[in-house]
Amino acid sequence: MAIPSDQIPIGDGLDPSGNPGASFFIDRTELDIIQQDGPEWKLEDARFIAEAVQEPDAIFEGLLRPRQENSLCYSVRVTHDPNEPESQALPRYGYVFLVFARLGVGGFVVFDWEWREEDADHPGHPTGWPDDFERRSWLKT
Amino acid sequence: MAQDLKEYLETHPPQGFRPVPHYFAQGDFVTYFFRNERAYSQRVDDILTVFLAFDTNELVGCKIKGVKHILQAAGDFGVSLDDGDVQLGLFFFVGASVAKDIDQKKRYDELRQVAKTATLDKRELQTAN
Repeated sequence: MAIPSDQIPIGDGLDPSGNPGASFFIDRTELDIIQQDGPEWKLEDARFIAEAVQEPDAIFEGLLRPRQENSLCYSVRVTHDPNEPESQALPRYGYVFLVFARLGVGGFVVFDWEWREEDADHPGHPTGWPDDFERRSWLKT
Repeated sequence: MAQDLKEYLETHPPQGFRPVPHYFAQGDFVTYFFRNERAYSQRVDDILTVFLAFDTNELVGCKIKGVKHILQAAGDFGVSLDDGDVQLGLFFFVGASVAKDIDQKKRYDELRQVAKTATLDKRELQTAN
């Protein structure tokens, strides 16, 4: 299947039900805007997207706003930093990394990513998750 | 052309920081970072997410969600956006008007003070799906 030319492959990850082999892409235009105007750390943090879609702790469906009813949120307590492969420490203790995606042509298109405080009672989940999403579609066991 | 995200990040280092709002069509949201400090997100409500500095918890930016929906609703009330750019204050006004609790209202008030005059280039909205 032809992939839109403005999308860059991220790699394979899990589909909303947790099945491996789903293809993920990211919008080139969005990356270019962030590369040009920043914040610089936002572009740098994109290195964690692959772990989020490949090894999430939880996947949520429905962002509770118009036009995003079927969008997805992948949540992960990031375990390693691709820029510091020797480090054993969590890159950002107490926070989870969220990746937002929606179904596109040939796979899922990532449209945002950010850190959020971790729910102390649910490791790998963002604070407020029961109220912020329509449902949790998959949980790592 | 980068073959994948990893290669893109290796070959396209950040060019700097410019505090201007941008619209992202794939997610139908606007982000506005007015300080270049590493930050985490805090969801305020369906319309607003704020970004707080890891070190100080100070407000450094915001994400306005459902932008096309809000603008369409504004148009239904006769608020015309045909000329000029879009002031972010419009979105803060809409959000504040439906804010349910004091914490939400406080965030909108903070943004009103620091970002109400920031403008979004209307041409960016024309890239919307």
